[in-house]
Amino acid sequence: MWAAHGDAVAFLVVYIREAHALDGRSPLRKGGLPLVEEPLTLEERNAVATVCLAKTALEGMPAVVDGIDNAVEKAYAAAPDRLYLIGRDGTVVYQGGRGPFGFLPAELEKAIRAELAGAGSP
Amino acid sequence: MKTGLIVLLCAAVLGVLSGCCCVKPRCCTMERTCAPAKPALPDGPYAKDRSQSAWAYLAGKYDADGDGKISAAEHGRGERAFKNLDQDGDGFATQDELTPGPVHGLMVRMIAMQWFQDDDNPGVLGRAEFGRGFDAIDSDRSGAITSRELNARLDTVDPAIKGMPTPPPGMDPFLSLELLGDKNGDRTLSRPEALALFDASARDGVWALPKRKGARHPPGASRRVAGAAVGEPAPDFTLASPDGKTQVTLSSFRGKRPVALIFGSYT
Repeated sequence: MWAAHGDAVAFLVVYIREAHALDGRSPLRKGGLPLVEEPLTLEERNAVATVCLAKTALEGMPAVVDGIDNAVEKAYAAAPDRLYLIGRDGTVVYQGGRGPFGFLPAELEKAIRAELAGAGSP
Repeated sequence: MKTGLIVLLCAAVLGVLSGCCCVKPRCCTMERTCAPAKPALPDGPYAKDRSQSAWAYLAGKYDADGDGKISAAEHGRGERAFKNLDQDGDGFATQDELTPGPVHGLMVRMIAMQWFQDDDNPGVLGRAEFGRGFDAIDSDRSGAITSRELNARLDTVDPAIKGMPTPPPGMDPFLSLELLGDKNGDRTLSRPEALALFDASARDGVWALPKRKGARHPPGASRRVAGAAVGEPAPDFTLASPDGKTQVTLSSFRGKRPVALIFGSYT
């Protein structure tokens, strides 16, 4: 999707609080999976974000990190993960459901195509 | 479940999980490396060795006196985090308290209600039906099911059960079964393990979908949308890149290009 639309659409990863921190409420505690404690400082979150981006093919995609106050995540109700498309006019044209079940890249792509075609959100 | 949902996005958004670094094909054979050396990964609150167990990571990091348990003083990362580790509240986090979180119990139920059903009453799953479902998934009749076998049935699952969504593409539904049911650690779920998993959570001998307690929203009431709703101005923000070198302000894109925001984390 990024390869197909990256010239016309800005893609931005917003790294937020951990969905399944080892010491969180919904932990993933098994070897072979990312074993991450919930960062307590922005520096720690930056480090984990760096590792995440390096370990996945998202390396290279522009990315920013939410503050440790989780302000942006709260504004977008984005935890544990979520997709949005913001139109050229600064309004929300696509709000995906909350992950994991609402995290649907195909829906985002459909919204991108519609936005680029000038038809607005599907 | 793949390693974090952010990984799911890789396949969908980029279309490939990885690609050769080489523009010229021969560089990969002619040179030892065809990409510049990557910087070392930063230190942080994560396990650099992902093959180790969660307990090995935590104990190695916090069990200073080597007594096999982690005290709050040894942990030192705040009361809330320690409370999540010290599940029995005795003041020490131990290996046997590192159980999978409640989300996996939900996933197991969801998977079982869809994957293991074989009759016309999808809201209730009995033990015998669960066993028949297991046998149907165990395509090689080995007596144990694997991730490959479970995922092979993915296309046959009819998500006819209202309120039970299908796992998103790329999420390995077997992971939750493994986390909760694979007691001998062989990464398969044997029939005895599967039935033990069923028995541990069954009520009156069955698994049943919870009944809704009345309407979620009073008639005529609008449903509040969490987050930024379609048509509303997107909440502006200015955030920095992980290396701190770049700042991005959302509103700087206004009038120029649409912006796809991908919110997520490593886990």
